[in-house]
Amino acid sequence: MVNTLDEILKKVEKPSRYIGGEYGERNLKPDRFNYCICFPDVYEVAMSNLSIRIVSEVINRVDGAVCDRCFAPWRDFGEELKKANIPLYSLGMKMPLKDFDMIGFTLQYEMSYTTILYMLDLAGIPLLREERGDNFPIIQAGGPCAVNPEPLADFVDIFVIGDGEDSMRELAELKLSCKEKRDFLKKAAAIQGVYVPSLMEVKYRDNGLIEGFSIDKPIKKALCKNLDKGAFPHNMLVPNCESVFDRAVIEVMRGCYRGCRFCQAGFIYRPVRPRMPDTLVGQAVDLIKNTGFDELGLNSLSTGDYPYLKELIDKLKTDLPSDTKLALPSLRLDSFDGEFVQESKKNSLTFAPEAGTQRLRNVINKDITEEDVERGLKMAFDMGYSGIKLYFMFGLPTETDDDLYGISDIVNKIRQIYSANPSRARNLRISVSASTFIPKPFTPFQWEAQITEEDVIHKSGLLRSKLFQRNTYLSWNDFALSEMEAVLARGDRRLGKVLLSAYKKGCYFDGWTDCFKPDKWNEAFAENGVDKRFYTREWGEDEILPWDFIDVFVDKKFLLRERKKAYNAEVTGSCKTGCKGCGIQKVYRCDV
Amino acid sequence: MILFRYTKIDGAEYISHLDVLRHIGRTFARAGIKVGYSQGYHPHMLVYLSAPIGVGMKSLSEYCLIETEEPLENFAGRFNEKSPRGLKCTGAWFTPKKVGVASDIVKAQYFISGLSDFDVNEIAAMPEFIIDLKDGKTRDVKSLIYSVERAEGGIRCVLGFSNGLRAERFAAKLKEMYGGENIDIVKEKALLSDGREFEYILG
Repeated sequence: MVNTLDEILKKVEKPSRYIGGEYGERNLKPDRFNYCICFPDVYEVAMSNLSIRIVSEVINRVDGAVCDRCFAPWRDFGEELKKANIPLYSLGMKMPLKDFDMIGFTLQYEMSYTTILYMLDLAGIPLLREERGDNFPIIQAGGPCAVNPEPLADFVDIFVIGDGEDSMRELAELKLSCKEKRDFLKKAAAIQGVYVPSLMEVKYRDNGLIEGFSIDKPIKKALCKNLDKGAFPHNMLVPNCESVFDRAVIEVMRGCYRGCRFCQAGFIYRPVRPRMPDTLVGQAVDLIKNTGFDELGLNSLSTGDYPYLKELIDKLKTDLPSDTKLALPSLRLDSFDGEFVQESKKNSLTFAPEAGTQRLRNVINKDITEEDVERGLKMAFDMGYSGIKLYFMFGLPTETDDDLYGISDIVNKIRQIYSANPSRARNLRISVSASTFIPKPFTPFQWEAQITEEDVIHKSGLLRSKLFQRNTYLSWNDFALSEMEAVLARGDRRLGKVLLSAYKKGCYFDGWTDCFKPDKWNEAFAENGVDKRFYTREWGEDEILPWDFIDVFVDKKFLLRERKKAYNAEVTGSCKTGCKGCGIQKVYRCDV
Repeated sequence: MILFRYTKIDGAEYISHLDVLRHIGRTFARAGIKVGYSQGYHPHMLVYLSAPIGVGMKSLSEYCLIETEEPLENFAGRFNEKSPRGLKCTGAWFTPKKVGVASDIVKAQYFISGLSDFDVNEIAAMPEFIIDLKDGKTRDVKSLIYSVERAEGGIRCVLGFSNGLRAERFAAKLKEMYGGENIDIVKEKALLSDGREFEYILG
């Protein structure tokens, strides 16, 4: 195999993706419980992901357990592996995936679902869970998309919903003492956050709507209540080739105070749990020392809201090498503070107003005002920034053409602010990225319809006509891709056969625009008699939703209240202004 | 300044030139080896590498020159303790002036294995040696083939760098002519025009 593999590595693009041996890799050896964390995308994306590092840390801390890793090989390497009959292997121990006890996939993006099938196929593991006996590893999945696990119910044996810190440890400990698969799955179902699809049946009505689930109690998500004490790696692998975010990363907090009504992460990651500055500084110092990175990312859903940001940055500046750059990737316009971004390259800043008018921003509970926008941008321009990237959504509930005109008003306003100071040396570059709104589970907009292709053509045409001006670049995403994302995000287990057909027709790496094959997907839907529009329509508030058996501790009544407020363009505001009673307070005492 | 020689083996042969540059910079950071930076809008580490070799080709003889005030003593030890697998320092020298790590290495000695047996003297007897370049073009590189000898387990040759000649193109041509499989190339020595190893440029 070694000779053949060497021959293959010499043929393919970026072979360093497939060799492992990164600086910082532990000397892994098979143990009593062998777990492989898999990321269904290429090396450069996977190596930037924090969650798989946390899971690895959790598993490797369990006595008798070992965690290896495997990422989706790009098409060229995948084809060569198939031709040479080499099964997909892990990067650390170079062990075939099918020899592990358990394989865990992280679900970061719905469009990676078929890539999971591609990886299983390359590993020589039957795709359907019913076709896998005791001789194949248990297939597990977790991550943000697992809050609606149903589209993958035919393929995955066990889901972990919510935080992995405690649940994955418990799962590993259980597997060490419980070898038989069926017995293990039954016992695992008692762990908070664990969902075993083979233990639940879904009943449907004649009209296709869900009648009910065969379980008595909802599956509660796993919740790491003390994040400060939760497992977090003080070392990380230094990627062999440049990764998407080529830097060390600390997670300053989990959850978000804001409650933007379209944002799934804002609801499923509740409650907000900041880590203490001293904990973070300790992690950061070790990470920079152990990796040699010259940049540290301060990650969270909204780093500007981190309550101890100034204290943390002051301490980091004192304790880290002086040439370490700090990256604050999730700054909001109203929390933008020049002091925090002084060190970054003064090239381009990214902000996400999301909607063009104050009314629509109120609808989505994005409580930033025109004044916030002006203040933040003026500060950025004064610091030397000459490029702005703006993220908007279109197709939001209640949106009218006036809201889209509002996007061009914002762009014009930004130009005015920039040109108010004639001494600025460069021309201002503005990139506007408009993406189609996708209604996601566990948000107040989970019942909303997604806009149609005709709407997208109309709205993007309108934006194009308004933003056709010098130094302004407009991009928007493909309708078919957004539609598929909505279908998979809100899907049920009847989509399993569509996923399987689509994969067999060559659909994988669907998140990569040049790999996405909408025609093949359409064939897969037609052949299986499944209508996409069933999943993108407006859903009745009294309907049972495919994910209603999952409890993320945010009350459905709260989501409905929020939906009503959205239609009245009423802002709820941040948790910092007082508890809004979303439901999480019943299980966690929020410190706001 | 310090000039050092390093390897690209044990998997590191699959790491691209630009990524090697990143790894070397991070190794310095981990090892606490302070390297000078350029002045200007985008300061960069003053690190100079010998010319890129093909991804997948092993090498025992890559060179790196750095602007530094660090002592030479135990430089290799400090570097190797913190460097990735296969990127290991095998010699380090002090130099008061910049040397051409890219320009003054004009040829190299390679060991090629995996080719079927053939009479190496045939190469010297050939009036021309045509290699295939990209886009279907060809070129005669006979004058750049300085020696080809039979060695245990393969052949050893000294090839020049110019005119599109690369060891992998040379090996591919030999494979086409004589057959072979699992071709493996190791760059053993980087050489000056007079045939001595590159570090002799320091005198």
